Amino acid sequence: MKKIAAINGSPKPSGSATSKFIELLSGLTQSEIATYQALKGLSQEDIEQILESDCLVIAFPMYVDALPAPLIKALESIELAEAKTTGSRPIVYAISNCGFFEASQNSTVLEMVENFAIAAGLPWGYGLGIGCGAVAASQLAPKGPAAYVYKAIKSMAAAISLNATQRENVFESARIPRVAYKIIGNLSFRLDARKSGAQKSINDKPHISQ
Amino acid sequence: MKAALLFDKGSEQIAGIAASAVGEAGWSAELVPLCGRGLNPCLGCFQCWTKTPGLCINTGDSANLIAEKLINSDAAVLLSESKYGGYSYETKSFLDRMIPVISPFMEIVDGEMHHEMRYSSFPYLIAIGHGFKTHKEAQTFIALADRNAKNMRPLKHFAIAEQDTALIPGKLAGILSKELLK
Repeated sequence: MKKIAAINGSPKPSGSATSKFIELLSGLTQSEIATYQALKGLSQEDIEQILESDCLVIAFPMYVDALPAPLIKALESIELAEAKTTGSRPIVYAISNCGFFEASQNSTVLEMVENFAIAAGLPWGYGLGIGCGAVAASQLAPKGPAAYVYKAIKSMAAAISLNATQRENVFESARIPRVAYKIIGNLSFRLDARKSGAQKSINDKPHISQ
Repeated sequence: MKAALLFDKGSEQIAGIAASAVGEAGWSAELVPLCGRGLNPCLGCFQCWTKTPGLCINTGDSANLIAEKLINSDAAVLLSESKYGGYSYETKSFLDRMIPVISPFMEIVDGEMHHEMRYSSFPYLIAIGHGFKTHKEAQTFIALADRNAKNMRPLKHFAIAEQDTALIPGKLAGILSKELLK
């Protein structure tokens, strides 16, 4: 059985869309994936375990078009340790998700993970960019609006079993009309604001005198 | 015209020289360090959009104060070491904390979904990266600066990916004096 490590790069300690994608990948690879939270930082022992794995899945939400800050720190610590070891080298795969509709908006941040793999001297598998991240995570099933995201994660599980490297990145989104996604998304922000009594101040501009 | 010069630890040595160059270009410069005590990373709670709109609830550091400086500047200059073609940990901790300056709401811009603006205008954005390990990292950095501009929506934005940090102040002054003072 393959030894698979994952880094969850979500700034949220629990309940993230990222954790759902890792769980599904774990189920589909029939492996218990050792998951490390970037938020907590990686210990020397964590890094040793990661570098002894056959593959490393770096899963995260896109933040400001790039890697969330704690994940940058985690990747730097792996790069630094990798320079000192001569052992096996896990193949790096990436799963990025964004709240935007278009999965292709993950293309730049996936380049960053590939750049990390190059800098750390690790083989690069490929990246999966997911659009409508929260919807896709909540509807992950072989059928329904996130069926193609499910299939893309299934393909990644197959790629991992084959030790596939240097594949083209894959982009998938929930299959719902963009206009519906935008309306529902904007409405959900309004409902959340109402719950915290901020429905009237949601467009406030606190940094300028009005 | 006022420029906020935000810099990380890896850019400390050139920040002062860059500020002088900004002055020579006829702008006033305020140096805003993102290092030293630094900023805590974003908690991912999104309460800056739905509970305290426009303000981060994590008030234990200077993120809201820096956001105020940023919004009230004519140009925001990000001077950062690059990691993997993105920003350094310090600079990215700052950027992740700046999402309250944009709106949670989505709209379609140039055929893609992006955030609406919270403020009626956003300062000119000049992203400067150095410390690239490969040419590809520099290309990623330029692509990132373009993507950031699609969500922050400055009237104009510029990206400089420059290995030779000695050239950065001159390039920055060139943009401020030739491109932005018209």
